[in-house]
Parts: sequence; structure tokens; C-alpha cells
Amino acid sequence: MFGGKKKARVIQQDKEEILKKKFEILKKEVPIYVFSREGENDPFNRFTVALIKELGELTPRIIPEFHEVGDEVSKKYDVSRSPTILIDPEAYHIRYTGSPAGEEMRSFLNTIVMTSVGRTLLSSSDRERLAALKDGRHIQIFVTPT
Amino acid sequence: MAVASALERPDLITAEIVEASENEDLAIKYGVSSVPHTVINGKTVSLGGVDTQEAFIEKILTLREAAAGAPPLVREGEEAHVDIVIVGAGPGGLTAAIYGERSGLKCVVLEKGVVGGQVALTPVVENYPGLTRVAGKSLVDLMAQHASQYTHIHQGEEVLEIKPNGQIIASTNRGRYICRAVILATGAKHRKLGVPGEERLYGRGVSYCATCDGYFYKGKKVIMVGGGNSAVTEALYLDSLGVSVTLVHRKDKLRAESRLQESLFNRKIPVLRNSEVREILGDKIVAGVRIENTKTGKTEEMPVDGAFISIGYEPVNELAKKTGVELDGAGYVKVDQQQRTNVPRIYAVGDITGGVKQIVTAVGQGAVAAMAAFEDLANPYWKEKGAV
Repeated sequence: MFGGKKKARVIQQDKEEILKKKFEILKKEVPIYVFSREGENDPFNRFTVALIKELGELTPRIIPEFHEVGDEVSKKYDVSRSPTILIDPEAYHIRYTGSPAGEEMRSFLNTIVMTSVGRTLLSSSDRERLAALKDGRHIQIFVTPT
Repeated sequence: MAVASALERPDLITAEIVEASENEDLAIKYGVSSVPHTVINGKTVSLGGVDTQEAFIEKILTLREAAAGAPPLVREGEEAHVDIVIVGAGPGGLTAAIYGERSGLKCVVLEKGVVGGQVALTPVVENYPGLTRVAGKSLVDLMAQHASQYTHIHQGEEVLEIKPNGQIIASTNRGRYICRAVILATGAKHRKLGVPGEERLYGRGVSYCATCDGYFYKGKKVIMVGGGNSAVTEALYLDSLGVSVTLVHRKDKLRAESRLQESLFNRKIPVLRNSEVREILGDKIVAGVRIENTKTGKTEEMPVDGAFISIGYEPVNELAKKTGVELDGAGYVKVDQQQRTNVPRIYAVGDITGGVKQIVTAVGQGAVAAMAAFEDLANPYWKEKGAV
């Protein structure tokens, strides 16, 4: 309470209202698991932990959980990098390896919305084609914040 | 798309978004030097650029990078009736949509690539009235958000053919639109150097987009080829990211605005004048460039990690040509003061019409074309002339 600076928030005040409005559409709860390990990408760890915590404060539909890389949960989901985010890992296999900063923030927020609402931009013909898939696919998209 | 696919098939598809600078070992393993870079089951299927939805699904199913020039996948069945089909979601197309809808005309904006066109890839815009300094993507997002309050914008939908007789039929890779007018806002594409190594090393050190790929070259050395506003703006942007950049220009004088040149000078960014790139060198990634000084005739090899190219644009006029729209000698669409082409009910706006290629020009032309379409549909001048 006395002394020390208040920690700066990741989500600025003027953006909070916009996000609250965006999240009004959320239906299903979305558990978001954040894994971090001190000494590995520390600034990105701090950013990611703070971001997910603050998103959880904006809507009861986002359920953050914080773990250490190396704990039982990280072993269960084969997480070895810091930071790593798993979106609803009991239902889906959607992972962010690294922090969703800069331009990737938009896609990250849309991922949360799609997961909660259960609706994507796939057309009916896209869905038909994916229905025919018989073998596993591990898709990795490499991005940068700009 | 990766996430959407993983949501659709959670039993078989996993999606991982990897931030390359925090995971350099993974980026090196897959030879990532441009983004977005897509790997499926350990195999690279996409280097830079944005796939249409159909192309991405195709890559998931076949694990193959689509062959250059492969025909887009056409879908039968979907047909929609609108008043105006707008081809291209850059500033011109988006403005045309706003004005068209506000005139009471039902519009749809069809964009085969990225919403926002070139502006989306411009690091900084300082000459759009009302905004002293804004990131290109932010400006375009504002325009797209505004337009989407009025109309539908379909990304990843390419117009393949326009039949302008009677009812206009615009066929796309998803279906057909029966409409009363078309506004072409297809813009322009990057001009290439046409030197050895340029195509082979595209996405592996050769880039046309500093905003997309500059981040990879922090602490590294690159050249920026060009002498206009775009090249200088992008060189300044790379410098601000901590990239060691040298501007290479074929003439003695730069064409860029004096304020930009001043910034270049103040930041001590080296400029090689009267210099042309003859070859881009490297085995799997860019390792250097061969540059000739056209005044002295001397050629030297400069070791660099990347070669950014910003030497202007060519009109994206394939659709205009197929439609029978008249082009000038440089391939730009000819229009009158109301943005009308020679084909009744077909209009063109923005960079595809040549002239002053600025965001503000495209915006103005988008509004003019939409209002002209409104007037013409109410008072068809071509019928007065006895045309169909």
C-alpha cells in the first residue's frame, strides 16, 4: 500500500472496455493454461502471465491457470518451453509457444472467442474437406510481433 | 486458419503458433526468415504471404506447397445478388463500399489477399490527413472496421471472371455474384528486380515487406533496394528495429520526399548511389549480393543476411484485361473523371488507375466511383447511347 510503484498493466484502461464488449459474445468457459520458467525469456514470461491474468479479470468465461515448466501439468501436455499458452487443453490442441505480442494479439483474442463460441470462419465446403482427413496434422505457424 | 482447423478436427489436428524470436532454435531448424512461415508435420508448406482458406485446407490435406500458378479451387453452388461487387479491399475498395452502402446500394467487397492491400504492409504513414503518424496496419484496420459496419468483406475470395453483358456475373473461387455494377480496386503488386537468386531465395532472405520480415534481421545486415518514399520509409523502419541497413539505388538522386531523405541522413544510413544489384547470392539463404556501380563499372560482392526490395509496383490488371476494360500503355486502367471505364457499369479506383498512387487518392476515387455507380444505375447513360 505504501511506497513502491504500482505495476503497469499490460491492457491499457481504454482498451479494457473494448475487450469487455468483445467478450460479451463468449459462451463456453475457456481454460487458458500458462507455463513459464524463470530464467527463460523472462520479460515475455512476465508479459504473458500478466496478460492472461488481466484477461481473466475482464470476463468470468476466461479461466486462467498458471504452471511452472517442469511440473506435472507441463509433463502431461508435453510443455517444455517458456512461455507457453494452451487454450482449453482438455478439449483441443491449440498452443502458443511464445508470447502473443504485437500483431499476434489480435489472432490470440480471436482464438479465445472462436474456442468459446464454437464457431470459426471455415466455410461449409472447408469443413466438408477437413471431415475427409484421416491422419494427424501438426500445424506450426511461425510469427513475429510485427 | 490453423486454429480454426484445430477446432474443427480436435481429434486429428494440432495448431501451434510459434513466436520466432523467443524460439530461435525452432526458427533456425525450419529455416524461418519470413513470416508467416507454415510447417505441417515437419514440412514447410508456406513461406511468407497469406494463403486463401481453400489453399490452406489444401496444404493440410496434401502436405504440399501449392505449385506456383496452380488454378484456384472453384466452388460451385453459391450465388448471391448484390448491387455492386467491389474487387479489392484496399483503401479505394473499402471507401467505395462505405459510400455505396450509404447510397442504398448493396455491396460486397472481395479480397483475394490481405485486407488493406499495400497499406497493411506499410510500416508508417505520415501523410494521411488527420493522422500525423500511424502504422499502415492500424490505418487500414480503422478503414476496414468502418466499412464492415456497412458491408461484408470476404477475405480469401478471388474474382476470376467478370461477364459484363446484361446482368453482370462475377465468378469467384467460392461462387457467383449477380450484380449491377463492379468497382475494380485491384491495386498494384511489387515490382521485381529480375535478377538471379531473387526468386530462388524469396522468403529465405529476399523480401518485399519490411514490416513483415524486418524483425528477423535485428542485429543483422541487409540492403534495401530502391530510392522512392517506400524504400526510404522502410529503410528507416529497419534501422529503428536495430537492423544494419544500406540503401541501394540505381540513380544518383533519390526520389523520396526531402523530409524522408533528411531522416536517412540524420540516422547515418549508408546509401549506395548509381548502384544496381546484379545477383542475390546464397545457397539455402541469402549470404550476399553482387552490386555494380554503373558509373565506374566496378562490381563488388557485399555480404548481407537479407535483401529487401522496394522499387515500385505494377498494376494488378489481369482481371481488367480479361473483362475487356481499356488499359493505357503502362497497363493501368483508363477511367474518366467519374472513375468509369470504357465498359458500362465497370469502374476502377486506386493504384490500378495509375496517376498519383497515394492512399488519399484511392479513398477519394472510391467515393467518386460509388456515387457515379449510384447515378448511372438510376440514369443508365449507356442505354441512352443505344448500347446494351
